[in-house]
Amino acid sequence: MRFLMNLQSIDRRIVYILLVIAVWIPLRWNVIGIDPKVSKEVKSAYDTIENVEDGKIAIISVLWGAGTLAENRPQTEAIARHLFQKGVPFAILPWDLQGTTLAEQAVERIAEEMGKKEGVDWISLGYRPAYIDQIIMSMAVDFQGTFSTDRNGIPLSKIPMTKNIKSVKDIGVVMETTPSNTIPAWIQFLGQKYDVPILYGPTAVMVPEGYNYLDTGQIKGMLPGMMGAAQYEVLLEHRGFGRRAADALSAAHLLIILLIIVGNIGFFMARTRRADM
Amino acid sequence: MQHANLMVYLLEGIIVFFILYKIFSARAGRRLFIRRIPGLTAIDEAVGRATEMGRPMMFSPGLGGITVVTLQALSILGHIISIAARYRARIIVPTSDPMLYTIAEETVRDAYESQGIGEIFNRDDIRFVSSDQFAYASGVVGILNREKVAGAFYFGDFFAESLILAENGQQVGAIQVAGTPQVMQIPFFIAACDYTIIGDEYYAASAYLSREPTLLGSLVGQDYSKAVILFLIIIGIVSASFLAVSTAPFLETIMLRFTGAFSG
Amino acid sequence: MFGFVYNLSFIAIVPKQGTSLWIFIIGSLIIGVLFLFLLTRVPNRYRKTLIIGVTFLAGWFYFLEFMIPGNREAAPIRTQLKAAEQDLRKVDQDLSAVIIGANNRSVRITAAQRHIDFALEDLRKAQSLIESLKKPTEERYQAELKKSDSFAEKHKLDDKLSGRGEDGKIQNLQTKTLAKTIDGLSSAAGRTDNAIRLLQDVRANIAGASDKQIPELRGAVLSAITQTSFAQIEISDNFLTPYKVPISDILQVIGAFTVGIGLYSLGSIHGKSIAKRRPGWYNSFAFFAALVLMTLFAFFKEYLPANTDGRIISESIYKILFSGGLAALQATMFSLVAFYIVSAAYRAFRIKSSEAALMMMAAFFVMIGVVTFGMWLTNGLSGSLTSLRLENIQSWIMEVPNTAAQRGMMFGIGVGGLAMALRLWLSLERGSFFDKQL
Repeated sequence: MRFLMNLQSIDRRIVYILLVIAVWIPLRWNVIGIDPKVSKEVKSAYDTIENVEDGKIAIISVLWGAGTLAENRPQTEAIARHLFQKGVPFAILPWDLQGTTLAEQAVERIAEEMGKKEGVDWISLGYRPAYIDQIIMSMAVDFQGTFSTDRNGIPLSKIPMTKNIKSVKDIGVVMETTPSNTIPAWIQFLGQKYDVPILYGPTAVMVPEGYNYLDTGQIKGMLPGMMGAAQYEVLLEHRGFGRRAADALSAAHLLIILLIIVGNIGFFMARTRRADM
Repeated sequence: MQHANLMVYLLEGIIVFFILYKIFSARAGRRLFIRRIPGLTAIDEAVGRATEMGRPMMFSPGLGGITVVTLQALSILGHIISIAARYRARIIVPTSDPMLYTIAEETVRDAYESQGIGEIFNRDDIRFVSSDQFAYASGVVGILNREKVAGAFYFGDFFAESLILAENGQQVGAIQVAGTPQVMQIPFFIAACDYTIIGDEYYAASAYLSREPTLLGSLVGQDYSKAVILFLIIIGIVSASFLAVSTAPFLETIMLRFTGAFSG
Repeated sequence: MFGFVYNLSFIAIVPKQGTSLWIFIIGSLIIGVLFLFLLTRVPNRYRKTLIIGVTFLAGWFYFLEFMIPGNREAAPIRTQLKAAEQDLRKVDQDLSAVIIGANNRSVRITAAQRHIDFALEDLRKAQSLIESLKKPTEERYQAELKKSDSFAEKHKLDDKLSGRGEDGKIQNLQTKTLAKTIDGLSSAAGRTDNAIRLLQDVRANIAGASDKQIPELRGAVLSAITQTSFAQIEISDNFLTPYKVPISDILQVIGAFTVGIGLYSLGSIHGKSIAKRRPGWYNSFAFFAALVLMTLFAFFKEYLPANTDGRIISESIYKILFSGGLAALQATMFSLVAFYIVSAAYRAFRIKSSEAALMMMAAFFVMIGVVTFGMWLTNGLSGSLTSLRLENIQSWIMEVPNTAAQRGMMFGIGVGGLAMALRLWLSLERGSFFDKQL
């Protein structure tokens, strides 16, 4: 009886340790391995990239840093992998100092694995201090003038992939990976104005707001948090961090549900006991 | 740039009229009723407990700069301090915006002085911590733990740091009351705080605490305005559903006038 | 008088270097501090009046900017666009009725065709009006450019005015405003063009469209409506709009002064803590060390001569401080949220009442429906039971009750904010900052 009653006040350190175990085991040994179902917003993001016209480039905007790496990096990787597969060259446009290095490293790894070359299949435009509105507006009119060089200081006019990219007409799709509310800028200054398809990769907390833009057609697809990346990996038939971590997420959610049930058992026991006395 | 159209003139006119009318009639001495808000009654409890335990309290105005939201938070702060001053209880205010810091200091000093105990005001209790989100969060967490606060209040704009603050406050055993118009953060506060003020109760807080006619009148005026908005929504839903199946040209014209008035 | 203001608008855009730069910086600082000093000298009994007055005036500016309709020259264009939009809304009504299967399909389609024709006519008129307005505006722009060019020449202003755009044109308030107007007109023309193209397409296909194609056509009509209403917004700047940005800048300038006050607060609290050896004083020491190191190396890495040892060393130290210190600490703080969510959920979700039970049910479906395990659990449900799959229940909860509740709250918050703003503007708020005679 006392044991059951104590269930309503488990020490928080025990709870934390349980969480670490619940997340770590599926990540380390990959024991469950259930694939998520692909939702319609992820499928339409996939289709948008499938339909990018030849000769156009894609832009992956990186606003995340180390804080939301677990959610935003798999999204970035999934989109980069798909673009490599499709043969659409893309530019990484990082607005966050940490995110710059993190995203570049991620893409370098995939490029090496798939035999893709920097300058031909992808470039990084290097860290841009975040005057997002101005930069979007200006790159729509004058792409080369806005960025002038890539991360290595090579002029964009001398890089094979960007030498013919002049303005918004040469941009086929934009993917925004972000932990904050920056998608309106892309919609306002590029999506609405020039009909460039915008894709959205928010963190799970920001997802409810994303449905508004999907509903109005202002964004063409969305990868909701890490699960979105996992679904995208299913479409790509690739097993990356998203799919592996999907199990960890399942385990963490199950742990929370279990703890809530256990807590309520303790709570009821204590209440019946009080009523008896 | 977008400007007002006819419908905005009308709607804002109606809302402003209701609010001002109710404010002035309340000032003229009309008695108005507002319901009990449990979270705000708890403020007295929190102050009383902090005094008994001889520990300080903490008030965080969130990450916002000088905005309507933060000014409302400062207004709530003023009332909390006037309660605290009665017991000579100490309250710490960490801020995240230097401009807000100066205004907060003024607010606290005034609140103490208006209770006639200006001498117990301590400048160091009003602090500028950092304008960086997580640096601010860790600063506040530090204050919660070092000072062993007995009551913590969170009013203002909060983002991802909301749970970090509230969960730490819970761990040191503080009574916590929170309120924010950032809808996405309300669930976190509900989970970790003792009382959470939801949605527009946030703007009702100072009226409730001070019972001042201006604020009470404004609150009642707001409710009238909301009734007007609700009425418009219902008309919109009914006519849109009805017109989708009927072809009566007369109704159609009215309906299009109605929707057209709100656009562009 | 006007000439003086015109002169002033140039002072700010002439680049300065060396001594004149320092004079400019120090001069501006002195003026700023003097102004603040004068404000503190205002006698007590006038302070409240002063605050109320300034608040009221500033409020009027934003109020008028929003309430006054756009410039009069473009009004006929807006009328045409508005008329087109009205017609398109009728088309949308008709097509929606067809989509939900109203019984008078052919009547609806004919009506839609008629309204599309009206809209096309209005849009074409709007297009020609835009073109006819664009020309004189461009001429005025050129004239204004010449005027400011000759002004610059006459006063021997530096050839490299920093207020020149990339095209070498002078950018003062007048030329900027005109350039923006032209920009707005071109953009509106483009949008009208888009709308016309979309509608022509719809008009060509609507007669023989099958039931499946109608939603697509309606989509095109909806985006034509969007284009038309955006075109209206882009040509509706009024005479106050150009001053909005400069006036908002004033707040930034005042804000810049308070950064110093914030730093003073930090320094004094941590300085006292070290001096009095309060418990945990070493944390305050860490604060000073971080502040000084970060500032110094950020300066060095930017301003030491390139490719020298000092520059390279400071760059790497800065990197260590930033990525190794700040970034890691921030990531740690954010990751704490994961742990706190678990402990908070464990503690908070107790079935104490029927409402709490309801909330827990909703939380259960959302938590389990969003992850793979939940999807796997109800994989077997198909046919008419598909909507009972956990992921579908989850998305229903997120899209319907969640959105409805959020929007309901937003209305209340919006009206509450408006009331608060109104009380502040009219100084009816007797909150603590206006409570007593300042």
